[in-house]
Amino acid sequence: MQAPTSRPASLSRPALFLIAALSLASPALAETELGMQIIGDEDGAFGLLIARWMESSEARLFAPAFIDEELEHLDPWTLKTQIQARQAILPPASPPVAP
Amino acid sequence: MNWWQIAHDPAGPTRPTPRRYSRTASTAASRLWLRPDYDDDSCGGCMNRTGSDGHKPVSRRARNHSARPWIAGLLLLAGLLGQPQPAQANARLESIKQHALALYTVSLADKRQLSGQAIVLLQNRLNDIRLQRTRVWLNDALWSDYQYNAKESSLLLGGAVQQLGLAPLQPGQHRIRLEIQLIGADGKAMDAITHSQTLQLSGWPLGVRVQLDTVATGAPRLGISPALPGADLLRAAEFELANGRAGRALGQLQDLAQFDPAMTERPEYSLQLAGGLQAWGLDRAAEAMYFQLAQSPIAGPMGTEALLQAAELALARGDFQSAKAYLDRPRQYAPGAQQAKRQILDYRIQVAGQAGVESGLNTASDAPLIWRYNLAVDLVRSGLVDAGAGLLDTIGSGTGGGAESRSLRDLANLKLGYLHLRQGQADQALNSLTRLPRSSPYRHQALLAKGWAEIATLAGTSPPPAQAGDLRPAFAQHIDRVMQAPGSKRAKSKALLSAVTAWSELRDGDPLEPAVQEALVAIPYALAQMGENKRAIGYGEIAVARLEAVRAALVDIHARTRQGKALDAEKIAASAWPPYPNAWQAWTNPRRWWLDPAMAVPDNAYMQHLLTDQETLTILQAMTVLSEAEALAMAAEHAPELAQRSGRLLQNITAERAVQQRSLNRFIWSWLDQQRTRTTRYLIMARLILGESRSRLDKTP
Repeated sequence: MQAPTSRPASLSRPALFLIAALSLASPALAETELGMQIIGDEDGAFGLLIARWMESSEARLFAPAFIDEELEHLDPWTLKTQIQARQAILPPASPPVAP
Repeated sequence: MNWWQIAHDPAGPTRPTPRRYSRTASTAASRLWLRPDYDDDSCGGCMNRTGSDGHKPVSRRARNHSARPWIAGLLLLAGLLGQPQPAQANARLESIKQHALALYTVSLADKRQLSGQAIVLLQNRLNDIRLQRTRVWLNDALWSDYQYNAKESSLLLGGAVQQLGLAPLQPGQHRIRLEIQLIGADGKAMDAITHSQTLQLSGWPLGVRVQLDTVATGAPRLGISPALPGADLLRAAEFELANGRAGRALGQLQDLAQFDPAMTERPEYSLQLAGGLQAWGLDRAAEAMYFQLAQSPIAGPMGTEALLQAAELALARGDFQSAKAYLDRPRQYAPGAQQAKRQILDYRIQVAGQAGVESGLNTASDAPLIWRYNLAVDLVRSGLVDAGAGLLDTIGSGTGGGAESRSLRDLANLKLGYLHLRQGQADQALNSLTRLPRSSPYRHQALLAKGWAEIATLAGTSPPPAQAGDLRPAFAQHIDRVMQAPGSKRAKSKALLSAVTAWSELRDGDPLEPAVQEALVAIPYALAQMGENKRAIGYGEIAVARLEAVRAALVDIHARTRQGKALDAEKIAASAWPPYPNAWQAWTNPRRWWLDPAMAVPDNAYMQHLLTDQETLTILQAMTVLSEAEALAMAAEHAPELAQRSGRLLQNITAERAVQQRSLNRFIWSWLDQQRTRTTRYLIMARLILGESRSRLDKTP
């Protein structure tokens, strides 16, 4: 097994990645739809294959999947309705939720 | 005192500001009917203005009621019914609400409105026995069959009152038969109780009062009497309000104003009416109502409470000047909750004025948690981050309370965790994030952030500076930076393993969730960087399989939903709104399909995420509001002079329903598209990581 190095390992087989990338390069995955572009292995580092991962500032957040980290005011209706909605989707076997 | 009498006080709200919540957007229409320059003399002018659009003025008979000042006030509103409809969706909805309420109120001015009908009230005076089903026969014909959901049963305990409806009864003798099914304190069904009685109904208004108690026998028993106490009607409105049916509550309060005008002078009536207006999204009217009540010499502590509510509503729409004007009025605040609320509002006004409020924040601990949370939001947004974080920490470290307190506490800890993480305070972030219990709805977000916090010390905590050519996703950059950081490999691997441990809890979560998707990809990426290629391949294969299944399902669902409604908002709103426990199980699928090797994604796998989205909830609420407005308009349609206006309002309501459904359709398509795009991005990453890991393993001797 290759020992971990202090630098990201170089990609010596870019063709493998290109195959993986091309397998997704259908018209449905066009750049305009996904907001990103697959550019290959020019920098020789893991993760550099995908440019423009997300075009918004979310790309630099710790958890790019989240857009809801900012503090927002809450009103009682929103708070109550969200709690009720979460309880409404519970399966019938779920334990009762304390009021 | 009635809502149609309210005009703006000079000290009241002065400038329109954007609303926080789309369901209650402030509109030109709301300002129109609250404008202060109406008086009795202008009534005729108002009615004349409506003549241009073909409306008939109200009848002489109705106008004769204007001897009562409140009738004159409501007649003024009728003049507004011919105003052009605002174009925006929120404004249209608000206009419909106002018009429906105004029409219904005007229709009540005619005493005939409820002749030939009797209001049937049911009071459950039992403390631990719940209602399951009530059936009522009038003169041997089944008139009502009502089945209670869990929430309604809970609300109807210990003396609460429900208005079963308007029974078609004329003055005279009627045979009434009741059957009530009950659930005992042990949760088991009890024998049904039945009762038959012949009642003599006379006078106006007609009322039938059913009481469930244990008087005399010690066992549950039913009693029926021909009565309609105003206090019971007020409690019936309270039940509807607590159950989220504010429009119905407002209608009942308007009925009460007709049947028992003296009751409207009581502060509890005004407080409930203001609460109903607020709950129905008519915030400006509610604020004015609260302020009116606060000025009443007989309101006492309720007046103080009303003033606090008015100030809070003004703050909510960003009008700090009005809020300050409310609070500057001399008032006696009771120790405890009222003083704490006052303190919170003072702080928020100070924050708005950029004055520091670093000290004394924790003294307002008696204020509602949500008020304190919103103050923390103001503090952080205003740059007083330490004070805001301190308050969030206080909220997050609390104990006890109901579901709302728990939810707010979890939210405070989650937001505080991310706040600390952004500020480079990994230990504090971990401290906040680990407070969230396993049952928390925010648990997955917290676990994801916890993983980042575990490596933050080595990776650096601030977002990496943008470097030319370095456009990798943040999680890849952070993991790489751990490996590039100075220090022993052992320390780096330990940090990464701690992160992977946190993320591993997410691995078997619903792969439609963003947090789960990121964890599915970040785990093999971290393992690959540590040289754990076999494990990385194992995790990578899982990620690819689940994300592929999700993506294929989303593509398919998106295509199918373009053909028709993905969700019938009217149907859900009619049958299961407000949502109660387990109410939506017919639309969702609890099966954990991603743990099944077949990876067959159910058609409705996405529904639980969609149904709990705030946008969906807002549209469902709008549909409910439209149904309530429709009921009010249909009731008003019986008044001959209002039939034409009511008919037109009903047409608007039908049109608005279609608009709301189209909005929901568009939102769902857009939501599905976003899910598909995000899933595809993670899927690409997962495939690349898997490919790289296999490549490295192939090279390993």
